[in-house]
Amino acid sequence: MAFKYVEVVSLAKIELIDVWYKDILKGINLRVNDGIVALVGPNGAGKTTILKVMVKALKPDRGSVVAPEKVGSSWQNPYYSFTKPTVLEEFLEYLGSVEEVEEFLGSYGLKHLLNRYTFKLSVGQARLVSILLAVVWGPEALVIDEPTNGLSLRERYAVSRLLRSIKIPVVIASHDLDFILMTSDYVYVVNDGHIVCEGNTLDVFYSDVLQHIGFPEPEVVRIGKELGLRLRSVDEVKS
Amino acid sequence: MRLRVSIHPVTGFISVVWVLTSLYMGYVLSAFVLSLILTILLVMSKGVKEVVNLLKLYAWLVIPPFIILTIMYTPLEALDMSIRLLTIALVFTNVLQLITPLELTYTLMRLRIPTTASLAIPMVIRLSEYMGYIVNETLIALRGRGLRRRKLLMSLPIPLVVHTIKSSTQLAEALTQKTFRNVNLVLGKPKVGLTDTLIYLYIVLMTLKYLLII
Repeated sequence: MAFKYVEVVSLAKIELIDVWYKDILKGINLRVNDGIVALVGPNGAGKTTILKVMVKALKPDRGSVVAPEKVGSSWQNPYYSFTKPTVLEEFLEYLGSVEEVEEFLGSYGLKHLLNRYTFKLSVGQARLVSILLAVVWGPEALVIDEPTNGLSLRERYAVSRLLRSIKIPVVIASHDLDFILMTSDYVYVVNDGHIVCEGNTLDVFYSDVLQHIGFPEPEVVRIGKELGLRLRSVDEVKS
Repeated sequence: MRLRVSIHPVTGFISVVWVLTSLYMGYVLSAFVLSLILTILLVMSKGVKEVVNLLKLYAWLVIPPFIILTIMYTPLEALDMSIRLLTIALVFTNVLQLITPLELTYTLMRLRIPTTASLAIPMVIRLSEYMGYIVNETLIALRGRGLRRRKLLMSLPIPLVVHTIKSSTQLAEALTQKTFRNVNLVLGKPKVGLTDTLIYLYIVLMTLKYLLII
């Protein structure tokens, strides 16, 4: 089957059906409906390539891609997203007035960055601003590559909180298991261009799939197992 | 088979100046011949395939003006203008490709340009291939924040320039730190070789010819 972008209305916000790309992706099938979906896998597994296919930056050799027209994205180098000297000017372009920018940044706890020079922000701060820039123009979905690269523990929590507060479907690609455990709802495990496993984050983390592809068991899961306890997701607690 | 062909930075500088002067004076063919000589040297150094790819790119620079000028003026005038354009493009590319980065660094340092800048300039030139990748990454990043068409193209140079300066400075700093006490140790002192002599010979002969004609 030749590659085509599917025009029909799908229930899924983003859907990849049997996507092949060179020798990097080998028949990827995945659906993103809502919440935060994580792609987990070792370096070179094909996570970034999947994200690039989602934002239509790469055209697959085979398969179908369902994706909205407006997909926001933030990539490994957050500084590539900046085009203005200060954070204020970056957001002023979208929000119109200084008060609105203050309110917007304030709602994510980033008001203190308002007058900072964009290219002089720390990696963590730049990552947060880059994610907000990907959100502020009103996309229907968000794609983020390696959101925790080079971040301190405090900044990782800030990114996690920020992602949890975004109301559109988010896809993140990462090999930071602890971050994924605290942030994502659903996980696809990618290895060598294939999706080897998918499911609720906790189910995947409690299975031994991740250990099979060379990841250590996350500390929280290991301690939980030793104590004979199983973590419960927010949904599980509510139900 | 590829040979290790390079030219002295001063030869490169003289070649560029001579070609531009010749074009200004109207000696288009002589200037074009020198740019062709440099192209042959580049073929010997980099291989046919790489240079052919470069020439394909330059076809886009030359063919459209040729067509437009043929319609507006005469085919001969169009040819003259196209050759001028091609000559300028070729001489700059060939000179930059034929000078080794460390020799260029050495020469720049002799001109009292600070070490960091001397190291950064050749690196910027040599990192052009990597820059292609960066351009693509930047385009994707800017599209990800909703920029499209004209706005996207207008904004593209900003992160690129910042990234180039940052990366080159970081690399130069790293190299300076590594060879803090004697930078000259890792730099090759440029030598005038056979290729340089041939280029000088050509330039001198053609200049004499101009002078005799005048």
